[in-house]
Amino acid sequence: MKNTMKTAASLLLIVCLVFALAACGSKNNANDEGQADGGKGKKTTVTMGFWGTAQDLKIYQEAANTISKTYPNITLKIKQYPSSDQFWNTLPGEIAAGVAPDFIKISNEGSYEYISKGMFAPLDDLIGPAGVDMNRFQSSANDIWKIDGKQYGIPNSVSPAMFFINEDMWKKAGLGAYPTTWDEVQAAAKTLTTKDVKGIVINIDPYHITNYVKSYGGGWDNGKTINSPENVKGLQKIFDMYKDGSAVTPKSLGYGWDGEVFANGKAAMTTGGYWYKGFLKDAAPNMKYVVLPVPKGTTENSDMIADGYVVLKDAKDKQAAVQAAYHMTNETTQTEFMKIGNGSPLVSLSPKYFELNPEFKAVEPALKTATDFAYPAESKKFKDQLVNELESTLLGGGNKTPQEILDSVQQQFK
Amino acid sequence: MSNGTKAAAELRRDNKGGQSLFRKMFDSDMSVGWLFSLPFLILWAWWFFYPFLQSFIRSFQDANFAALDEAKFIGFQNYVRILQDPEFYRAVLHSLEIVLIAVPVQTLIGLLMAILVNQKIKGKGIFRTVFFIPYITSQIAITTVFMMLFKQGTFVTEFFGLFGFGNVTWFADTNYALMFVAILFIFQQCGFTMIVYLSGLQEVPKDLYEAGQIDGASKWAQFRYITVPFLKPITFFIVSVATILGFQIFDQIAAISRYGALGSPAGATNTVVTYFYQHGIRYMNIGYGSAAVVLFFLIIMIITYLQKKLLDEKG
Repeated sequence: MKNTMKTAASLLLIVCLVFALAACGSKNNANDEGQADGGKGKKTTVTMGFWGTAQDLKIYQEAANTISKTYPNITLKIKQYPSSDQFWNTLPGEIAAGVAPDFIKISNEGSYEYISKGMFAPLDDLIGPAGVDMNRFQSSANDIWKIDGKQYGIPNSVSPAMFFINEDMWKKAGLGAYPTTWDEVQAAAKTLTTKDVKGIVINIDPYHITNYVKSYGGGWDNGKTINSPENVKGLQKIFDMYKDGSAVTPKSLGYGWDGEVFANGKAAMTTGGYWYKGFLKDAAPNMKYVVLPVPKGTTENSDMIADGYVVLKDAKDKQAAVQAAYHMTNETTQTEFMKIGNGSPLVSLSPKYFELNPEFKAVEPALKTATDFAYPAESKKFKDQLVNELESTLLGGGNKTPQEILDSVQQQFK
Repeated sequence: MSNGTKAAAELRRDNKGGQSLFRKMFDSDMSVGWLFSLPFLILWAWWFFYPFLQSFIRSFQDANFAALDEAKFIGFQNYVRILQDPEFYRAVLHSLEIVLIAVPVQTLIGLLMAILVNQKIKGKGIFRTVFFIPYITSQIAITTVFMMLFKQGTFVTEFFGLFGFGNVTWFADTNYALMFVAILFIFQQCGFTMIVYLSGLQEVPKDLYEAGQIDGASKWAQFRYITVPFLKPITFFIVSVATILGFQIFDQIAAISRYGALGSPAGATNTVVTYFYQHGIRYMNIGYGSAAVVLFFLIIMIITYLQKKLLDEKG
C-alpha cells in the first residue's frame, strides 16, 4: 500500500511537471489569429502603446473605436504603460514574446537615442503606400521626427516650454509687471521668498536645465557643445538663484517634481509645460496662475516639446501601423487633445489652440523660437551624468563651478 | 522441459526482473527524494540557471538590448571597462556600506524582538504580528511613508537633529541618503529575522536552561553559553540571507530616485544592482550589464564563503 502510494505520488508529480512545462512553452496562438496581411481584405490587429494620463487613454479609446470608418481592415488596440521607464524595461521581453506594440506614442525628449539605436522603422517608404499626407502637419513639427533625412515619426503634438507664476503670491508681494528676463525673475524670486515659500522651484532635470541654457543662446547640439560658454551662463543663473536662497529643488522639499511644489504653494514660480493645465486643475483647482514664455537670458529660446507616433522595427504589419498612427491625428482626436492643453501640429488646427487654451496665449511667439532638445545619442546616460553632477553640487555641498560640471560631462560625450 | 517452455520461463523471469527494477527505483527513499525535488530543480534550472548562463555568455558580448541579434563577441572587454570605471567601485562601496551597517543591526534587533515575543507576556501574538507586518508590506509603500517622515522639518528629522544629524530631507541629501536606505532595509528585514530566530529559540531544549539554573548560571550566562551556540546555524542563515538581500536592494532606491537619475541624489545611493540596471536595462547595454552581474555574483559568493568560514571558526 505504502509503495503504491509512493509510486502514484511520483507519477502524479511527473505528469504535473510535464503539463506545467508544456504550458510554459506553448505559443500564444490566439495572438496570431487575425494578424496582418494588410490589404488582402483580412482584419489586421494593430496595437498602440503609450504612457500618459487617464484622460489620454479615454481619447485614444474613442479614436480606436472609430478607426474602422477610415480603415475597415484595421482593429486598433490601446495598451497603456505606467511610465516610459516601464515601457522601455518591458519592451525587450515583449519583443521576444511577440507581444510588443506595433507603434507607440513617444516624446521627442530622448527619442533620438532610440532612433539611433535602430528601434524604430523609418517611415519614408511606408508613408506613400499608406496614404499618409505629411503636408497636413506643420513642417517644423515634421522636422522634429526627421533624423539624417529620414522620417521616423508622425507628429501628434507640439508645444513650447512655459513659465508659470502663482498670481496671488505675485500680487501679494506687490510686484508689478511680469518678468521677461532671468535677472527679473531672480529679483522677484528674492522678494517672493518667505519662511515657508521659495521664490522659484528649479527641478534638477534636463528638461528644465535645457530651458535655462537655451535662453542664453546655448544648447547641447547632440553632445558637441555641452560645455559651451552659453551653457555655462545658463547653469550659472541656476546656481545664483540657489546661492541667494530664493530657489529650491522639489527633492529638497520631499516632492517628486516641480508641479507638486508649485501646486502646494511652496514656490511661486517654475518652468513647466502644457501638462500643468491638467495637473493644476486637479491638484490646485483654486489656484490662479499666469503662463509666460520662458524668460530670456540673452535670447528668446526654449524647449519645444513634441509627441509623435513611431513604428517599432519589429512591428508585424508596418503599413497598417502607420495607417493606425495617422488615424490618431484626425481632427476630432486632435481637438480633444487640444482641449487638455496639447498643441496640435496640424496646419488646420494649430490656430485654434490658443482659442481653446487662452491661458497659454502669451507663449504663442515661442512657437517660432523654441527648438528640439538635441541631447547626445546616449541621451539617458547624458541626462544621468548632468543630473548627478548638478545634484552633487547643489544637494551634496560640492564646490564645482558650472564650467567644471559641464567640462566633466563633455568629457564623457566627446 | 522443452525449449519452448524454457524460453517462456526466461521471459517471465525477465519481466519479473523489469518490474522489480521499477519497484526498486521507487522503493528507494533516495529516488523518491530526487523525484520530489525534480519539479523544483527543473524550474530552478529554467528560471535561474539558464538566465544566468545567458548573462554569462552575454557578458563577453557587445550587445544592445534593442538588437540582440547583432551582438558581437568582444572577449573580456566589458570586464576590463567595468574594472576601470570608478563608478563601479563607488557602487560596490555603497553596497558594502549598506550590508555592513544594516545586516548586524537588523540581526541584533531581530534577535531581541524574538527574545521579547518568546517570553510569557500578555499580547505576544499581537507583538509578533506587528513586528512581522513590515516584512510583508510593499517596499514601495514603506519607502513612500518613510519619505514623508524623513522630510526636512518633520518631527523625525527634528528628533535626529538632537543627536547632531542635520534637519534636512534625508533622501535628498548626499550625506544621509544611503543611511536612509539602510534604515528602510533594517525596518523591513527585522520581522523576518525575528520569526526565524523565534523558531530557533523554541527548539532550544528547556532542560539545558534548567541545568544551567541548577549550576547557578546567570541569565546572561545562559544566553551566552546555551542560546547563542544553539542559534549559530540560524544566525548563519540569517546573516547570509540578509547579506544577499542587502546587496540586492533596489526597490527602495528606485522609489527615492523617482523622477530623477537612479541612485539619486548624485549617485549617493547607487549600488551594484542599480549599476547593473542602469547600464544593462536603462542604457540598453546588456553585455556590459551582464558582466556587472557576473562580478556581482562573484562578490556575493566570496562574501558568503567568508561568512561561513568566520562562523565555523568562531564555533
